[in-house]
Amino acid sequence: MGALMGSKNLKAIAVQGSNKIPLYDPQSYNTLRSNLNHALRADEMTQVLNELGT
Amino acid sequence: MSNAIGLAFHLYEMGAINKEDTGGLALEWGNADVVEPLIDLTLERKGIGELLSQGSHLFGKHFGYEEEAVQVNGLEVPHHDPRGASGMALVYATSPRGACHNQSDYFFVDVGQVEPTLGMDFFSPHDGAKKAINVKKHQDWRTIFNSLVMCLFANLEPQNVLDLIRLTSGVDWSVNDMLLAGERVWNLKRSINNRLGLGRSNDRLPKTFLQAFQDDEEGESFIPDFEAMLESYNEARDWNMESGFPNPNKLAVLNLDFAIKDLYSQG
Repeated sequence: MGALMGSKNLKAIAVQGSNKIPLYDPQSYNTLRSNLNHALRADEMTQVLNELGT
Repeated sequence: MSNAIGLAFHLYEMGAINKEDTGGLALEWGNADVVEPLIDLTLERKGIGELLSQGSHLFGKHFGYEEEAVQVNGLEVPHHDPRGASGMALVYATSPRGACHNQSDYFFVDVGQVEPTLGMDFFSPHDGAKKAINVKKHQDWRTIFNSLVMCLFANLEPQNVLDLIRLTSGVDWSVNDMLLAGERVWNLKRSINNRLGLGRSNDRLPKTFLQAFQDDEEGESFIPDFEAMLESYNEARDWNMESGFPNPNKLAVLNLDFAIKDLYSQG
């Protein structure tokens, strides 16, 4: 496949979709995501990296 | 780029390259004024910048000093010296893509970021072979992060990661299921590299990490016991000591039977 693409001077193929990917349990997921985001923002490490960079 | 430029300084100070090679720039350590022109030359691939743009491995090789380049399998080492955090010796040497700190940010483990629910222990930053199995576990764990495209800095607890997997996909994993999946990915990448010709002899460190620090007059440098660590690591991974290939039994346990065929069948 790589050789075929190379021989045709094709370097990449980009695709884009618009369908939503359904979550198994959207309600619980959103609660957990929100909690984790808040915990991450309050985390000491995040604050240090935010201030000093990585 | 900073690694390649650093190597250029090093070779200049060794006398391996001179102003004829650098287009008149004096690459003396501390001479920050020449760094900006070097970056510009590299971006434009002009003069010495053409060589710098190829990375430190090829830059060193061009001048006959391949072994001076601080790289593993073509990828430059990032800023965590295994002479400070010995776990990084194994991370760099066994990474499927050269000296990469995203395969395992073990330098954090070496200073105390231990995740006990993963069956990991704390070992001192200067411990050797006995931490090899810990490095293996951490690589398997971080492989899950990489597969999920999650930042290592967020460092979520294992249960949080398991919950995210379950709530998005419905797959209800235990910690062990997750680590086994990470191990499977790690061995699959290893098998691909093995099939493409890489093996035990690629699991190595740049020589600078196996030497004392340059200005160490008191002989206080720590140097990781790399060969013993690698042997213990191969044992923990169930990889062949000579070839570096995953043993067939290990591949079977990981449900990678097709890789057994690729690596071991004759003709």
